[in-house]
Amino acid sequence: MTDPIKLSEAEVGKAYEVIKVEGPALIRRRIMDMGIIPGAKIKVLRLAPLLDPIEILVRGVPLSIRRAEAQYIIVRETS
Amino acid sequence: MKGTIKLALAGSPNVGKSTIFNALTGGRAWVGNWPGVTVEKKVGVMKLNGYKVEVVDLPGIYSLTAYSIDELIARNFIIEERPDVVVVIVSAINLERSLYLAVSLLELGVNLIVALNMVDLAEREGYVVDVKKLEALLRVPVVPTIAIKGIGIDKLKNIIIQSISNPRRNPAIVDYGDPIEKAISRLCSFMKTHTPEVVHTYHPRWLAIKLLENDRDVVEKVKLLPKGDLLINMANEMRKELESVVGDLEVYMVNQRYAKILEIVDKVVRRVRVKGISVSELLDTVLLDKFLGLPITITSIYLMLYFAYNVSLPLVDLVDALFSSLADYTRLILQDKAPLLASLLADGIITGVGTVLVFTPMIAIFYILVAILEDVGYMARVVFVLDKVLHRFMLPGKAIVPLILGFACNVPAVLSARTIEDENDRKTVIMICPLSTCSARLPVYLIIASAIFGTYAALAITSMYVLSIIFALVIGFLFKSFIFKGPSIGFIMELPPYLMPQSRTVLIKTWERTKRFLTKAGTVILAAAILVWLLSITGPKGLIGPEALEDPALLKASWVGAIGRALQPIFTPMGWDWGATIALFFGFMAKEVVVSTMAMVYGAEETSLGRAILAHFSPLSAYAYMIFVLLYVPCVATMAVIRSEIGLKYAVLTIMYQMVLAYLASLAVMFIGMILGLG
Amino acid sequence: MTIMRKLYVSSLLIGAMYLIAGIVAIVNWSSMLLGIEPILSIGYIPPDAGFALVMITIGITMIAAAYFRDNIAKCLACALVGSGLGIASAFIQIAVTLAVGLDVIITWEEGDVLGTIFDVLREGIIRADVVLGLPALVLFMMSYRALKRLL
Repeated sequence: MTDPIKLSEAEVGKAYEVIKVEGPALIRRRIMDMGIIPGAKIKVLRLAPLLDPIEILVRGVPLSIRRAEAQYIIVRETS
Repeated sequence: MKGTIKLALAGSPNVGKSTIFNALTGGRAWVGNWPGVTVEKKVGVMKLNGYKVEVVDLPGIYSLTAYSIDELIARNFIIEERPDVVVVIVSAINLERSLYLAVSLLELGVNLIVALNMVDLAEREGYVVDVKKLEALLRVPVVPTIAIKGIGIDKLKNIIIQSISNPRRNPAIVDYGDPIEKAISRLCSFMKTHTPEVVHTYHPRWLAIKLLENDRDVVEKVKLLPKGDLLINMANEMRKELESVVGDLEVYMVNQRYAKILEIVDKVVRRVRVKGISVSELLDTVLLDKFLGLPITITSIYLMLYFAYNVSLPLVDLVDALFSSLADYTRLILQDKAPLLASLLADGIITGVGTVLVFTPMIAIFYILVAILEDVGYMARVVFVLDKVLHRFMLPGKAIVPLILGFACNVPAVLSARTIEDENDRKTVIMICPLSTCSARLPVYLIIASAIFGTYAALAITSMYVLSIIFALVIGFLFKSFIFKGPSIGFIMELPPYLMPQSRTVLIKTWERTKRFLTKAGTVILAAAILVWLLSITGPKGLIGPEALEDPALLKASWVGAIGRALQPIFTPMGWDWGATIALFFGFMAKEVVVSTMAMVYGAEETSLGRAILAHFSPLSAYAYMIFVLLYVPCVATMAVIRSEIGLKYAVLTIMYQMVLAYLASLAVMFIGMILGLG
Repeated sequence: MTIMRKLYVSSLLIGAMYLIAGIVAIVNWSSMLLGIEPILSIGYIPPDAGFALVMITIGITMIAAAYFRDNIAKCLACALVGSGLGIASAFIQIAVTLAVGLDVIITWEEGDVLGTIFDVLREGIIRADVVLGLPALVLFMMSYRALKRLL
């Protein structure tokens, strides 16, 4: 088992599993409604050319998320 | 006629909702606002088997929480207006997430129909969705559609008819597990016996769930109902108890819903082919590439501006020529019989209408391009690539569309800011929109720069565009840091697969937006044109007559002249004379009017205006004047839309800050210029 | 030569032409800003920063196809996007030229209108972005065909 990290620190091309969603209620609910809930699988597809936001694949859908919000998503690397 | 049926159309962004709306209603819609907010409401009518079906297009949403204004609108519409049928559009290529909205709607207790759209794209991705099984699991009708090809629409209409007489609801779609279900049923029976008023408004099961989730909007509303407090207290106690068992209840509930959805998806999706690489993924490897992404994005925006500015040129000149000959003709006929009426018609009304229509071709072309890029799915990529820049200045990524449109005209720019979710963000973006240098300002730069700066004219004009962007970003940053503080909703945006644009959807979108521009800008500019006309032909000493519009000496005695002379001392440091000041005043109407006013005041034809300007400005004062024109106030039409979008207070604030900014900036130009010895 | 090899070599060559046109434009534009006569007066390349931006972007995107030659998908995507942009910019320039020609008629007051229109059309159509649109179209068809085979 690898250590939990923030999604904002995740590496491009790797797959992760969501452990916890933190942050203010407003932002947390927003994140969860997009299907990013504990247990969900996330793949980091790429960084924007200016390195922020990041593009992730969740439930088969590519999403763009700013690092500022990605830091509230705690993930663990999966193989 | 069997009567009127109310149908609500729900769906997330990028699932083809507007295509289905157009297919059902034939594209004719009444566009207005939802009560109390400026979120757009579209209503169309469909005749169906003797029924008159009123189709209401709900805002594009991902769920039904109380966190965003769009979601609240959709939710409150369903609760308060009780539509007879709700059609939810579920995307076959995005099944998990779009079923979440369908499940949320089911919990609300509505008579639901699921339109499973984009089934062709799912097949292209290598899987099929078992519609019969999905129907059985959701226990509501499911209709597969390919909306952009019109496939499945007739079937959908049939199902709508059936569903009017045979409503299908399934509020208990999600089983939340023992302790929670017990709490829900306890709350429900409490409601039925003690607070019947509550049950009258809300579906009891849904209300119980929302109270357990501590939904702030629902809690506030229930509080106002008789014995509502009792109910809330009961729910609060239960939540504390339950949270000791399952942890954060809100998280748990969302989890349960997704678990149910996953279970459904597992049963209905059948993979027929291994997933290959899709065209969208392929294109994104280049369009969003580390090195190529940025230049490609900027190039696309540039090409769009280049196309819209130049291709609209003949149309703009045509409208201009038509209206000036119409004005001449009117003068010719009426001049002798009724000179005042002739002038009112020619100089006031016809000129006013002409001013609005001159901008329309360029705006329409811009709207077509924006609609195409939106429908193709590229706009979301533009936001993705440039988001960082805007984020740096505390602005939302979606501000990019209003700022680009602003280069054509500030009115559509302000209107397009509606897509920004957060109120504070939206206000900020709307207030910086007038800093985008619109196409009406270009003639002013052109005439001054080419008269004064010779070979450096291009540099001077380009600098206006660069300064425009810098000012918009910096002022936006200041607004976000000092006035519109507070957290901005963390926005997560979908990057939809690329699709071929549909001419029908693009044209309908363009037409709706252009129509809105005409109605919003048209009346205001016309009124302003007449007012300015009136102030020019009358003065403190009474009527002067239409001659004032052609004779600078007479104009000096009019109200406009009086205002100009009163204001002129303020601009002494910049070295602008009375004429330059008057031209700025006329520029309120539309900034390109500055040019024609200068020509009139300096007694020059538009062709000889260059020499006149050279006589009245120094290079430094001319550059300061250009800066002033860039920044000084939104034109009346823009002021009017700012007022109607975010209120009078902010419209006034916009005018004031721009005045101060323009004054300080041009003063700074003079000051720096003097120091550098350029005066 | 294999299809892919043919593709990235032509992409490289066409891209280089775009890049050169772009660089010439930027050099001429800078010299114009400084009030000097264009240094490199080659053919019909306008001294315009926007034109330079478009040409350089198309150029590097096409050249990238050669850089990514070992990654078939990305190589193809670069050729496709680069040539797509090239076609788009040629098309836009033709549309703009026609519009400007039309505008000459609308705003015509005196003088040789036909001659002016002819000049506008000639200068517009022989610009580098229009001329290079043709090889870009060929490259686009090549990459489109290769893409169909890949999917």
